[in-house]
Amino acid sequence: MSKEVTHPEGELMASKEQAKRQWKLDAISTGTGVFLAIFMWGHMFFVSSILTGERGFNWISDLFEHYWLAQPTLILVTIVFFVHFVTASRKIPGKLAERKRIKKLGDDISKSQWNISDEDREELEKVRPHKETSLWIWQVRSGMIILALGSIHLFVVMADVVQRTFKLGEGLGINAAETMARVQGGMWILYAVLLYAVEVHAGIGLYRVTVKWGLGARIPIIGSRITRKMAHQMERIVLWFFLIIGFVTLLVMAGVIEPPLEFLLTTDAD
Amino acid sequence: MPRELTLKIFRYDPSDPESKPCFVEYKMEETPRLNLFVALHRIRENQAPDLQFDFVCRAGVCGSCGMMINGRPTLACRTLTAELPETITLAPMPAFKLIGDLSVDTGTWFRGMSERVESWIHTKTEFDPEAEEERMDDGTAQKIYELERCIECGCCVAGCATANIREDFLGATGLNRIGRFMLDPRDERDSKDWFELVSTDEGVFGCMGLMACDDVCPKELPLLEVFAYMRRRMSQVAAGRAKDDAGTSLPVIN
Ligand code: HEM
Ligand code: SF4
Ligand code: SF4
Ligand code: FES
Repeated sequence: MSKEVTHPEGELMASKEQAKRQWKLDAISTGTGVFLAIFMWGHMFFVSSILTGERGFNWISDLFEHYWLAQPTLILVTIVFFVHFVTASRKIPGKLAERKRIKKLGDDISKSQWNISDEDREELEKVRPHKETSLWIWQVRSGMIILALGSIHLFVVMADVVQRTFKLGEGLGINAAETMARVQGGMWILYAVLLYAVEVHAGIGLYRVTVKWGLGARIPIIGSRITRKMAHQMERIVLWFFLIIGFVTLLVMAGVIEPPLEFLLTTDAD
Repeated sequence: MPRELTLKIFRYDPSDPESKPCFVEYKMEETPRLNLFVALHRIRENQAPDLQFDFVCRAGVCGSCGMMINGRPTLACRTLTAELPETITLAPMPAFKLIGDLSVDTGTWFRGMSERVESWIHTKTEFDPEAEEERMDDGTAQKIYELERCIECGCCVAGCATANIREDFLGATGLNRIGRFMLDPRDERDSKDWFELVSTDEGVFGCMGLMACDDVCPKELPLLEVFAYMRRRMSQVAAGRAKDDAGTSLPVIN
């Protein structure tokens, strides 16, 4: 520690403070991550209302905006999104060299110290994948993608909601026709990538949170202890569930397939 | 037909300015139940008398023979060549100081860790050489023993991304050591005392939960369970809910 506190009492205080801060930062990055993941499930659920056709989708978005549910949620999520980004990316090594080091944990031997030839370096790299280590690398990468694309998405949605709330322009708010037009106009690329990145990121994140904080803890009611295998299987199921719903939703929005659940909202009067 | 094995071994002598790090290939015929301990000795006998590597117990007990075997840090004495492809790459463990070839200095690292963890029983009780030793209940003794099984081989440190980039990180074995003393009813340090050691970026919150340590530990210690437990307990301290709990049990292994 490179702290310039010389008095032993002061040093003790400083390290206690530091310990508390580091605990806090870790807890915040985990907490915000879990919050966002849960939000994303709810979000996916409501967006997939398009599977019942435009009426279902519009009904939900009207409801949310009319009763002032959408607006505060949007603000809250935007804030949490950035807080998570700031606290979580603290763990990404600042130095490129360190990132490379993790990436190629395979090159056991650091160039600076032992001067190993590039050929031997490649040799080492082939043999040393560690799955969870690479999962973390994908979490960082998908996080970066979410940061870029998610910000765009948040901005677009915010613009829609603001228009309606303050009765600007056409003031339609979020509605199926406009959303579908946007998706068909090329935004599908953004949404497809964002969807995939979010599901992967949240999936890995939740798996890691479970292992980091919960392993060995007793599950209430069921009584068994949380194991890594359990966490892994949960993550698998959740990941595929939301990926499939997400992509079907996107296909409907892009007009590639008809809403498969439209019959639910079709009455004889139609 | 026995296989012909190719061992690609990292060679470098840091004390010799002429020496250049490189991989050298050695070929040998595979014999039944050949392990790397025997294989390396054969190479030293027949092909490379100056090859440096460490072994003592050759039974997975002393922890001297940790090395990167096809990229995975593990004990050479417990690795059969039959478990490996024909080409076997051997390199010294990273994160430790290289002594030469496959031999690294784990001792300095472990001593530093032990000193920071203050790896001894902290107690104000005066030692009485005349008195009968205090008894410990069997369950607690078993739990302590479970964590005490660490042989200081360093594999968890070598495989850990965090330990590789942060010199001051206590590593899985260090956190495990803390767990061992948290368990011990004779140790009078309580959660609050542990907090500043455990709850920092050098401690459990530096750990990114990549799990490599747990995957490579040749003694299969319940490392991840110990960490998860520590995170929960440290959160209680931070939230001001820690009781006076010196010597409470870790509910991890049963
Ligand atoms: C909707 C968006 C997001 C969701 C659902 C989400 C979810 C999560 C979760 C659950 C974790 C695990 C936390 C932990 O291991 O303690 C996590 C970690 C992480 N997230 Fe996100 N995240 C989102 C956006 C972002 C963004 C925009 C970034 C920006 C770069 C990011 C970067 C990271 C990083 C680097 C970690 C690893 C932190 C660590 O190892 O402690 N995430 N995320
Ligand atoms: S879980 Fe990962 S980061 Fe933590 S000590 Fe183990 S290998 Fe290192
Ligand atoms: S915890 Fe396991 S891998 Fe680490 S030093 Fe101890 S025995 Fe070796
Ligand atoms: S020689 Fe002792 S552990 Fe391998």
